[in-house]
Amino acid sequence: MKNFRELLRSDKTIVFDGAMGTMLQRARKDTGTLPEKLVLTDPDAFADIHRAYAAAGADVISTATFGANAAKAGELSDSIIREAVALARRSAPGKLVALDLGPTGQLLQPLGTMTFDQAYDVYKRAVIAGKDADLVIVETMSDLAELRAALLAVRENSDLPVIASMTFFDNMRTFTGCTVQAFALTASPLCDVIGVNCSLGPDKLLPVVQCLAGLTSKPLIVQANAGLPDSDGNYSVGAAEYADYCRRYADLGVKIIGGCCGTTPEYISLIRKIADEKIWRPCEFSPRSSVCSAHRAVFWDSPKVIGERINPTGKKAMKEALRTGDFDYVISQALEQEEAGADILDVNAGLPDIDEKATLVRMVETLQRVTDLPLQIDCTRPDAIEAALRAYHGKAIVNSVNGDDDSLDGILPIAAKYGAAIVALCVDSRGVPSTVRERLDIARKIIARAKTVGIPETDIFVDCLTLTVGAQQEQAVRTLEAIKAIKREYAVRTVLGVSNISFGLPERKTINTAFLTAALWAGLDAAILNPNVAENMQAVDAFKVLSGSDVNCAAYTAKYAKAKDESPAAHGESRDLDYLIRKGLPAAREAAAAMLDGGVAPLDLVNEHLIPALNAVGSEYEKGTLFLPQLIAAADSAKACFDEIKKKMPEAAVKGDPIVVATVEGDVHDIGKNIAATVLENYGYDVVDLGKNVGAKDIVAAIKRSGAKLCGLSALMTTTVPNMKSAIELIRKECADTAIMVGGAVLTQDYARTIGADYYCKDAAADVKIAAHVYKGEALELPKLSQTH
Amino acid sequence: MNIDRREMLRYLGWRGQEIDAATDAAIERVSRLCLDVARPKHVVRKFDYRDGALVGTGFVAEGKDIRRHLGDCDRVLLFAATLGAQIERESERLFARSARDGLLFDTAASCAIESYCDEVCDALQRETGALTARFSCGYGDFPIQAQHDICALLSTDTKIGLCADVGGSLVPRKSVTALIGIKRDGAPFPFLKSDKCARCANKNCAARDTENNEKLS
Repeated sequence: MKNFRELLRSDKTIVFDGAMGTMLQRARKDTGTLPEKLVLTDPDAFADIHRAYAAAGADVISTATFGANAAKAGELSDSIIREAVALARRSAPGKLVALDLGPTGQLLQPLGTMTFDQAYDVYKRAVIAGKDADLVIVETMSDLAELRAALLAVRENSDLPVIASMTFFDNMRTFTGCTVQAFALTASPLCDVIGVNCSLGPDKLLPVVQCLAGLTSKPLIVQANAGLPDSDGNYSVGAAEYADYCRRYADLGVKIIGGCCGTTPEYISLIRKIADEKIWRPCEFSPRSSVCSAHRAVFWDSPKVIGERINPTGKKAMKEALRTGDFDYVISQALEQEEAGADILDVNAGLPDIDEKATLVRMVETLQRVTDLPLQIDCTRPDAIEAALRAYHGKAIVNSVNGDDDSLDGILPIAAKYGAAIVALCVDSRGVPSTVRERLDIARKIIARAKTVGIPETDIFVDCLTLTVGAQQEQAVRTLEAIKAIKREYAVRTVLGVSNISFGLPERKTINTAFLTAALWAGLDAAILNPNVAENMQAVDAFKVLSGSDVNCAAYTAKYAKAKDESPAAHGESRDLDYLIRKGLPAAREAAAAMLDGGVAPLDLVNEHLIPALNAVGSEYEKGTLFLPQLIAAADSAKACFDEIKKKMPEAAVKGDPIVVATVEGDVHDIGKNIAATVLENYGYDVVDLGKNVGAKDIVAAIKRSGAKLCGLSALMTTTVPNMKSAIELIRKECADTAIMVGGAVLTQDYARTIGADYYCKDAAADVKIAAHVYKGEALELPKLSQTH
Repeated sequence: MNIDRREMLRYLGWRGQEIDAATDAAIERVSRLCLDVARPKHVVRKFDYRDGALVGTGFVAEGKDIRRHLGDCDRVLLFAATLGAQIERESERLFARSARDGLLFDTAASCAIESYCDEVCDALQRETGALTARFSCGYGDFPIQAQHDICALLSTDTKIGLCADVGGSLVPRKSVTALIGIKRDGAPFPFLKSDKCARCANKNCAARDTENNEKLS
């Protein structure tokens, strides 16, 4: 029997089979909700299809297991998969058999409730059941997270070669927004063949395949639909037209061609002819420096800015956020840097008294939910790096490895496995080098070792070290010389943390921007800095203009001409703080800052302005003179004022009474909970928002950690109220002193009582009253529900 | 697909209050953003229908309400639509910066998906002849657990990127699945009529369009 890996190395184009579902539906009407079940009850239905494709000349036959994973087929999964592999083998002797794996039919977190590990287990089970196949094809995937789970499951549980195939639309994205570039960069290291199938006809997939070809060293597969179906299920592209496109794919260097929805043995026999006539030549590919999230890829057409703010070192507020698990603060730092123009975000969880690995993973999961910017994992512990890279659905940079063998042996194989780029720090156990030559020697060692595990030069970012000019004045020039020297020798990129240069000196910005500019002219490709400091971004923007990478100064003009028009004076808002909060205007922040600068005590600002203004808004909302968005806008404004106050006051003094809020397990609807949290926060409570789809144990842990006397639970679906009930039971058992309020579309007062809650929240204003009752003993007009509390 | 301002205000609990300039501008801005980010897609399949059953599929719609709704239809459309996953992502980004904008965006998206479904259904109706209104599982006594079979029969995961999670919730959230009867005779359903409350039988609904709303039109 032929070996798939040998075929990949040969000069032949490989032919896959065509549609299974189309053939099955033509043969019989009653395929039900899971056609793969027929493998057990009517195997001949599939055997006929396999035989027809084998006769048409397919080299590889796909098993009838597309929807047979345990998430869709449940307990039948293993037996369907085992039978289907044997059936394909029997029906098409002499052909290769590909274990066909499709999506789980569920969306992974954060969109859905399935975890990455659960998806991994689904695919692991399928791979083990299908171990007698010759290869695995994971196809019609939309979610890069789910695809990664499947590919890792194959890689870690079998030796079979694996094909990764996603489905794209004419906006060059999948349903979940994954770009073709992100797919290429992220999946290539985890698979043997990469490509596209389904979704569009062969014409529309051409630009997708062209884009893919330039970004991967792996062979390509294309299995298009035969155009789009009409309402009777007939497809628009006939076999001859389909074959014309396949010829173009073969000319492009596509290694494997087959068919998806609407194709039949007739189509495959024409592809067979093309394959027999042609000698296969691979696509042209040369590696490029790149990183990506699932939504955006960054290439080095000009220097990039790596935002340094998500790092607790020397930052009180970030330390506090990581200790208390306040990931909203981490999100706000990410969005602020994104807005300021960062291209990549550095993520660091290095605090001595927290679990670095768990925190880093949670930060990665949180950040990739809200920002499109690729991440740089700032950590030197191999176990934490591996966990973070596993959780990251993109191509990250690992910051960093150094010249020590321990560092190289521990980190390089992990970076290579997940396809990450690395920062190569020019230090080793001998300490910080003082000459250019010493720096180069260490860089050369790291580069050589990285290549042995398959990390190309283009994925290495050499850090020639910024030393403090106030202490070692001659070193600033050495750093710049080292950048020039390493780039003359290799195709690597360079990176520097900039601000260390000015440590200990007055007016640091002046030194920082001058050094940054000099480094950029020396060939710096990535600067780790604070993008919120305008001068930093101005230096980078100016460099792009002067070096010609900002063509026609277009980006510069667009950014700075616009900035002039939007000066604060243009808004002309100079009303007093109470008015600004009641109207929900963003100018409240500046007004609060001005009052604090003018000597108003922070606590006076809270008690004499913020709380009275919020109370006034609250009562207007209850009377019906304001409606919900206006109430929430006032809360947003007050929150901005609290942020200003926090800058002035030690953390403890502004800490309010804690309240834990969460949307219960299984429920992904969080708008009601978000509104409640926003309003409560602005009445001075310290709200610990656990997010959506939160298990009872996590809620209990947060209550214990924060000492909250009040917990708010939300559920929107009738099907998730039982989870709310069991969460209440666990809280009662473990945290007997904590009162529980519940809200959500399906709940009523009676229902809330039935499941054992203390209070029912009909709206956000009710939450505030309940909190005041629990913490301040204020009278409550709302009925208390249970007698046990 | 559009976002009807009046419907959006109704969802937000508006009862004729004065809308200040900042709220007004935010509604406009966020609605535009919603239309910009949405990638609406739908999938539909026609089935023969008998006594709650989609013939040949093994699927039976349970509950009296759906059967009453489909009446004596002998053909039905199984329908699913979604605004796509990017809406969810944008919603979370907005919430992180401004809860007001997050709330408005979520509401705008609810209006947008309804509007998209109405436009698609109106177009379908021109092909098939008069249709009934959409009826979704989770309404009345049509159990939400039917969501899994509905999604499987339409292959919504691979056709439009729509999934049902374990509890029957649709993800992405701004999505709809429904059964629609193809009537033997009778008037077409007014899918594009903007006054949605007028076509609903629940006279006591808290969100029902009130006279106050007339000020807007």
